[in-house]
Amino acid sequence: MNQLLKDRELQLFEEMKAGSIDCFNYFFEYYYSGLCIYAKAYLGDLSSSEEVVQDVFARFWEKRQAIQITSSVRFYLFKTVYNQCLNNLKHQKVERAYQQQCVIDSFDMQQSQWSLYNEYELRNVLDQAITKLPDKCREVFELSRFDNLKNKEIAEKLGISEKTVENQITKALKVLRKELKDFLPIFLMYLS
Amino acid sequence: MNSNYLSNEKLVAFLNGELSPEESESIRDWYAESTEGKQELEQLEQVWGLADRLTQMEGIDKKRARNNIELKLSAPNHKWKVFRLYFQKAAAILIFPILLLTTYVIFQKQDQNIAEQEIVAAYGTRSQITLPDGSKVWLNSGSTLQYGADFNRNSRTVHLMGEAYFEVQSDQSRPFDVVTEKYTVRAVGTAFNIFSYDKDEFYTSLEKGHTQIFKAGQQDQAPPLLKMTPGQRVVLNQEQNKLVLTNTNVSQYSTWREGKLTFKNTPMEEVIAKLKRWFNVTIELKDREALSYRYTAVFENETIQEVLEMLSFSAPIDYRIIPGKSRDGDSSSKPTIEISIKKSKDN
Repeated sequence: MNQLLKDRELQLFEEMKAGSIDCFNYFFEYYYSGLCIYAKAYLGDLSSSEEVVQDVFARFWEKRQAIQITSSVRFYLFKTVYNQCLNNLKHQKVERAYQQQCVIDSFDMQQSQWSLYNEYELRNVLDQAITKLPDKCREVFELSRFDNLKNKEIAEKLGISEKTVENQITKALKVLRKELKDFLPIFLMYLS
Repeated sequence: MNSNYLSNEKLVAFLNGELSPEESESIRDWYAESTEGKQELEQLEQVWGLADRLTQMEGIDKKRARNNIELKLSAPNHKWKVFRLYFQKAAAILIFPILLLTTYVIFQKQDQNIAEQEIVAAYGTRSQITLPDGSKVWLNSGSTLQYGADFNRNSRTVHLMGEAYFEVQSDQSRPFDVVTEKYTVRAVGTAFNIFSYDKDEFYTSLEKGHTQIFKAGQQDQAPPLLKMTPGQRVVLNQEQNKLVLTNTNVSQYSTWREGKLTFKNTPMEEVIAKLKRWFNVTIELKDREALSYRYTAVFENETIQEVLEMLSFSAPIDYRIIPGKSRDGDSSSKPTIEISIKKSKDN
């Protein structure tokens, strides 16, 4: 399936080269948000990250005839954004040399195994995993992670002790860690 | 490794960033004693951050970004003005509107005192109606809404088969009940979506106000099964026959009201069911394997051909449209669409 997606996207890219704006829109819709969050890990703020990703997309269309993609479209886009972030930081470095040095030194193409996921994939994976949690555990986890409530607030809202909240969160994390681990090998196929 | 060494309290505080740098360091050290432990901590931190990552991604305004890109490309002195032309041309083709006939049929059965209203949104159409109490209802394709003549007298009860979005007029003294085959949703001044075409299907999502869910017919006897607050969605899990409450981005579930057909990681089976109702067509799936495909897309004014063409981009399907006439002597004029897995061309 992932191989299929990869092949399909390479085919779409060929159609985009031939002038199909629909194919360009597909890549934009599918990857824009994920790329922005990816860039944000390097640049720090969302608005300059969006700026970078928009430039990358503009050029992706402009220079489409000249672009050669050998791996996958996904990998190409993430790598281009990565390089652009690097350029931005180097540019800033001239101005604020000492500040950025350490940031650039710690660069790593792969922020984490999740960094190349887009929101649709991540939502799907996370929703699936969350359904595996027991009811109470899921409720506590969602209040903590999606509603950003403090443990104390969760305890008050549900009429349980803070200790129970901590235990439920830890339990949720352990279950989710097991559930989500399975997705890592599949993910690696995108890169090859 | 002694797993009792680190208390849950410490771990959660660590992930929340509530510990001092020294304390955090000691936790890292503790995990770093083995490579296994190191990996475990890394994975726990990742899982912890996933929800944030997702919320951030879903909060990004893509429409604005797409406009910005277009502006970049059509800036003065920019040789890529061509882009704009392409874009306009594409838009012109896509605005091939499917006329959304808000045809609904009102049957009035004047039996004795009971006048029952039945409102039907036929396949391929959607309807918007205002109920006697001023509440607004949007009915999706192939849905039926019924209410009695005593609606708005002591109570407000409607029966729904299908999908509808409600904006209920606030009235504390008379609850607004939507009865589906299995469950009743009770609301006071609320905006919510309900999906229940079949007795085994039930989804509801709440945008504003409060709702309560009861077993159908028990809304005045038993306590509610669930109480919902805005931003929540309830799904009937068919296998376990139980309602599951999740927090999610609920507005995506009512985009059909604006004439948008939305798929978010939607399995093939559901895509087919939606397309059938939306376009009033018959769809036959030739290859069962295609049931494992999932789609993500938003359609606004596209024709069924355009939709199928776009869908075949993201998963390898082929389709064939058979015009509606004289198929097996069937008098209905519904077109039939056959979907199959794309065979590779080089053999």
